[in-house]
Amino acid sequence: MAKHIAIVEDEIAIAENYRDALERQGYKVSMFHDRPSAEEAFQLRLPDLAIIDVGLGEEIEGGFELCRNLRAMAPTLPIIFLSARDSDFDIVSGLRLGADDYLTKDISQPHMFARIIALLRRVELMATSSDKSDSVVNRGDLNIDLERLSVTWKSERIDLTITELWIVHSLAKHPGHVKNRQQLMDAANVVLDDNTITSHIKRIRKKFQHIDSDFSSIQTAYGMGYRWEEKS
Amino acid sequence: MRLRKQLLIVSLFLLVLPISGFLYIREMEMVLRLGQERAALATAQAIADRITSDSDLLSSFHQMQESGYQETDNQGNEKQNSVLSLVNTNSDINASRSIYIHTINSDINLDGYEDEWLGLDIDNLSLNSSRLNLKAASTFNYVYLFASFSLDSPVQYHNPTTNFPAGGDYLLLSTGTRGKDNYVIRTSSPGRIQAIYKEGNKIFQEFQIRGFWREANNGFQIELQIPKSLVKDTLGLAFFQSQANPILGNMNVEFIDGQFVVKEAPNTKSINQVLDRTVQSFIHENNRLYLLDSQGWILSERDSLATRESTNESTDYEGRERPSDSERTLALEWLLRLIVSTRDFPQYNHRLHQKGFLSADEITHAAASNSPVAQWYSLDVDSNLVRVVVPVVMQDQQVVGSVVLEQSNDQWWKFTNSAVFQLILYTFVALLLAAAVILLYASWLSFRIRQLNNYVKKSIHTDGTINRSFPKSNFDDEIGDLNRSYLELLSNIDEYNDYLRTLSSKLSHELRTPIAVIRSSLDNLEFLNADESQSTYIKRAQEGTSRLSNILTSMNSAKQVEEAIKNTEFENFSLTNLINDIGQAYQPLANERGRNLSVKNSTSINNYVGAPELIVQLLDKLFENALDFCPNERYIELALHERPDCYELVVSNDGPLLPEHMRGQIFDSLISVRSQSSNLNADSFVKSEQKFHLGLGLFIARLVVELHKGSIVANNRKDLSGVEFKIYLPKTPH
Repeated sequence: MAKHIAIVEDEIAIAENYRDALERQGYKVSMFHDRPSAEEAFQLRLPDLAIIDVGLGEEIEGGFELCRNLRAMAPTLPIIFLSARDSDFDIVSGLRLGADDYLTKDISQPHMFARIIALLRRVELMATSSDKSDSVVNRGDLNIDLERLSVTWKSERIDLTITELWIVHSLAKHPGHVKNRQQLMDAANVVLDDNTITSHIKRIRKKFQHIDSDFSSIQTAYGMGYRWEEKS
Repeated sequence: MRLRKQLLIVSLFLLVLPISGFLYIREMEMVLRLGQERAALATAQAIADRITSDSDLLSSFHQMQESGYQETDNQGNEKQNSVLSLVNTNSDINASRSIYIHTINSDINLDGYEDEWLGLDIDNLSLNSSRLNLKAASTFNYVYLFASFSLDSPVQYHNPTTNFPAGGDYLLLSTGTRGKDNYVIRTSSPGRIQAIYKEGNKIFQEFQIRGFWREANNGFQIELQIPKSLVKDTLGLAFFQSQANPILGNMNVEFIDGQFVVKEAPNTKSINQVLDRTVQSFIHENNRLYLLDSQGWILSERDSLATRESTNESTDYEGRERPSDSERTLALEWLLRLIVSTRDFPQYNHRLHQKGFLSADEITHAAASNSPVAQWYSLDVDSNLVRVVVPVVMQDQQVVGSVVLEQSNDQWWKFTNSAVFQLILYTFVALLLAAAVILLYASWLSFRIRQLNNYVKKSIHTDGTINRSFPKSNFDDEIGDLNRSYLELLSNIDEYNDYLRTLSSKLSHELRTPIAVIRSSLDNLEFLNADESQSTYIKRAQEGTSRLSNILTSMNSAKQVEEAIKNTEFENFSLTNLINDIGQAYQPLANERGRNLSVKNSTSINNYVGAPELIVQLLDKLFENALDFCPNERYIELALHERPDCYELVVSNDGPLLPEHMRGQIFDSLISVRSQSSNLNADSFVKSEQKFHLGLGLFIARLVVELHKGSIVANNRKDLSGVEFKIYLPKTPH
């Protein structure tokens, strides 16, 4: 069955170009040009993946709003921001709202396809990994259940996005091993730059620290990457 | 010239005000003086008119003018000139000299001694080469005469057995012009004298004339007492000595018919009581009045002038209304004197050169020109005296005498001391106040201008950004306007700068969407069209758009980094661990490129608050830089030291030195020193884009260091073996 991708983009030319390209790849694509129509459609049926522009017509940050609502409806739905705005602030805002990726509009199509495929595969992986032995990872206070996409710390649930979840999973799988940024990206099936990884790590730490202020298991190996340190 | 100096110079012109004040005061002083002079002249003129209008008074001048020789007495009797037979026939006769008869209060004891006279303030009338010294005085009843003669030969006394006039040397006394009034004074021995006169052919002795003859060194001295009734208006004395010449005396004599007769006896000069009483009413405070005859003899003297010549300064003030307090006003008083008493008047000489006689240029001048004359004298340091002379003129225009009125400006002082003095005081205070206010105001203006200048200077940073703290002036004047204009100008520049700064990001933002349209369209086109020749062009178009988007990215990256750094949150971390970690991370990179890395980290700094990611980024840049510049097989050193007030991170490498002129600039945005070292080894070859990024990298380094309130310096090593970058991070920056 063809995956259903929703493109929410006010620039019709771009939207149609992407639609054409994606349809050529065998995806089923639906286009929306503003937030209300998109939300209306999502109420009826959720897509497998959403590509959202930040600025939607009159609404300068309509994409963020839409992302927040969509994330509330579907916690694991892969969401990609596609925007002309490329400042760190926008990227961080987008990721903080639960988006899995943030792309600038001048990205090449193959690059974009790679990311879309990576995200979709990750969802599939989760769906099929239930029988894998490492679908559940226990490291001291940490418990990761990939099947249920849930992470708990000291038995308390922590809301992580899929990207974040894979990063934690990758680190916790081999405690003490330094994972560099590339490895973390590979693990999460995303293509991100270094700073974005750093932002992700920081956000993950904060989420853990929100529950346990003494949390310090994710350590920085400066100049190299990050490692999971078991509490002694 | 600085504004402050200009102000100082301009303010010097304020001195014009006190100077003009001084001039005004001097002018006023002159006017007052002139007024006083006029008043004195008027008084003197009034006195002169009074005298002229009263024939009796005038006659007292007139009488004295007359030569006794032609005098007719009241009865109209033509006096027969008594002829005195004289032994001496010498015609060497003295010019007639008047004797001034001073008024004294008590009688003089007739003893022939000078003692009592010495106690009186009477000058000698010195005649005949000082061989005759005369003094005259009068009480209410008598006229006293003291004469001392100095002779070459001894006196031959009167021999009573001889005939008239005297059988020896004798003295001729003339008290009038009539024959009766010519007396022969003789004595037969020192002691009491005889005064005899001849009337017709009879010889009488006048017993009312008494006297004492006493021998003295080189001559004799004689003291005479003559009743006033006998003394008309002349008084003459002549001594005839049989053996000696010349005749000693003060009158002209003639030798007629074997006798000496008085040719002309000089007038006596003395204070005229009638005149004195008349002018008394004219004289008030601080005046001195003299009535002089045409020769300068004083006929009347009235003195109410408080002379201060003999008094010293301290008592000097007592006569005056002195401002009650005290040293401050004394200073101002001194100032006042300085202003008004700089006039160049001749010194007043109170002492006349002869008692009873007054002569001065202006008196002669007034008599000669027959017009009033005024002359100022300086009395002492701070007061002046005016002497006005008004000639007394008869109907026939003959000048018979003069009225001399002297008036000191002490009166003026009294009058002005309160008024002018206060005026000066107030003017001065007002002046000082005005000067102070003007100076303050000017200083304030210049202060504002300087302040504005400082603001303007500070308003633009060295890197061209506008300081937004430019204050807005609330003053509604030109400087305030200037301030506001500047503010407006700066905010315009700032807006424009802002526009320029955001232009690239706005541009990239705006261009991204159309580029995305082109790009996605080209991508789609590539799939639709299999034609080879077309796909070549599609490829080229794709490359073009890709370059375009790269340019947009790099245009924006500096600003992105700046923003990212600004939004960084600080955390607590271990600098020691950080250095160790990156040391490990850099080791393989260094080895890969054939360099050696040594890490020196002997500290343990576990509580540094900062942004570790940014510091790592910074060190990455520096390390990258060091790698590029370090020759093969040479050393790169990474070190962390603890200094008293900061931590020092050092990245140094062997290799080419920094150009001297680039040292400070190296961390400014978009400046790369690498272009200076193009002759380096192949490893340091970099593409132009990377070069751009190196400049950016060092700029980022500076931003990171500034975020930590630290500093970064790039220097050549002391031994010139390479370059070292030092980062100083304060221990307590936040």
